[in-house]
Amino acid sequence: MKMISASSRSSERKRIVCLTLAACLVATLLSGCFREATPRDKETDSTERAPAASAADTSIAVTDTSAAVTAEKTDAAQPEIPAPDTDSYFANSLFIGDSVMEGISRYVRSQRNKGEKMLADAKFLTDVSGIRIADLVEDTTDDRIRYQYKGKAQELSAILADIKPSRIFLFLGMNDLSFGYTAEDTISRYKRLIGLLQKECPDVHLVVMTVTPKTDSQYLPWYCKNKDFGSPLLNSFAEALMEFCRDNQLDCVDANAAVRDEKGHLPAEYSNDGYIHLNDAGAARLIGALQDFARQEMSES
Amino acid sequence: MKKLLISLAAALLLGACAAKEAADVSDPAAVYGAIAEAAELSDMFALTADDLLYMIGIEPEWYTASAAYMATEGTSPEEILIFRAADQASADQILEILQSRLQYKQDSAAQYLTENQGILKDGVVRADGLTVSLIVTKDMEAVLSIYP
Repeated sequence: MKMISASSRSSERKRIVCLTLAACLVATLLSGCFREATPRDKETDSTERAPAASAADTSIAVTDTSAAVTAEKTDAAQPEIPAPDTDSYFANSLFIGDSVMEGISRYVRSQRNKGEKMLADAKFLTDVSGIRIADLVEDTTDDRIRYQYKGKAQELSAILADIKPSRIFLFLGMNDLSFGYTAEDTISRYKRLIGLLQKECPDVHLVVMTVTPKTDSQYLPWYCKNKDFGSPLLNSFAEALMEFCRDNQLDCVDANAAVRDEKGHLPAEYSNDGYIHLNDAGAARLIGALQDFARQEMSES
Repeated sequence: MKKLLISLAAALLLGACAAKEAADVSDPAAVYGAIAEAAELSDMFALTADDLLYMIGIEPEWYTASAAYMATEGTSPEEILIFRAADQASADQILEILQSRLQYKQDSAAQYLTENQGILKDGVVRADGLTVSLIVTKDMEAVLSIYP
């Protein structure tokens, strides 16, 4: 009896071991199957997961901007009027700019990807080669930079003829100054560029954006030929641009003021490289300035 | 019985691992998924069909599926563009455009944002049958380990 009982326990143990192994095998295979989810699932996962970290920064910055605007514009004695939806103002707009504008472009498109309405269907024509106004008005002595559009370098006039924008925002001039052109020469070329645009697109509404400052750091990349390039130069150029706009009845968005700190620099928390380029928080400030401008324009019309 | 089960488990697990390593190159999303899992990518956002047309120059009728992503940070050169071409002629056109895009990015980095030159030097454009891709990422080693 004792022997039979021991043998029975032994075979029971074997049965438990086998069942446990089989259960482990099934569990492993099932988990493998779930890890090998459909490719579409994977794509969605990575798309939704990737920008999450920056989203937090962004929403804080946007809230900050609107809070500042509300504080400035709300009169306690007057009833609050709901702010108009500024998005429609940017329909069929084109933003023409440099590498700083490229950062804003990516910020806007990544926000749109997340389902945010931002600047309607506005398009961006940007460049990360250091494009200058001098390139656009064909006033360079070195290799001229042209915008890449539909896979190839094209003249601005050809691109505009294809896009047919109803409103153009210009964010240019920083690379001219860093290249060593004077502020006066750059303003003079800006005037020529405006003339060209008005000739190419007579019905377009042109809006000039002032250039943003540099961070307080001493850092200048080697390709910045102007060793005096920095916030004082950029800020005085921004002022000159505003004056130019006033003199020529052009609309102007003061992007410089939107991101400038009390010492006249781009705060480090708005930059991704400690130089001139904006991160998501800086881009959100600039979008806030554009929305303020649109709001004002819409309320005036 | 126990030995048999252990052998079976080992065989099945090895088979599952081998299948996991080889991403189906005919499916751009699967290739991107495998890359995203293996490599340490920056924050990326998906490009729309409009982006692909206006920025890159890829016509929608040239591909049947795509997985196209770009780094959110404006100064980053990282981008992964994978297309399943509609036919061989389209694959050739996409290949040519992606080659010139990589060249443009490399030329740009030679004069501006020059800190990106290293990443761009390792960038690749490749064709695997009708699947054509451009891969520029700082973690190219990890990408090549699964997509050699």
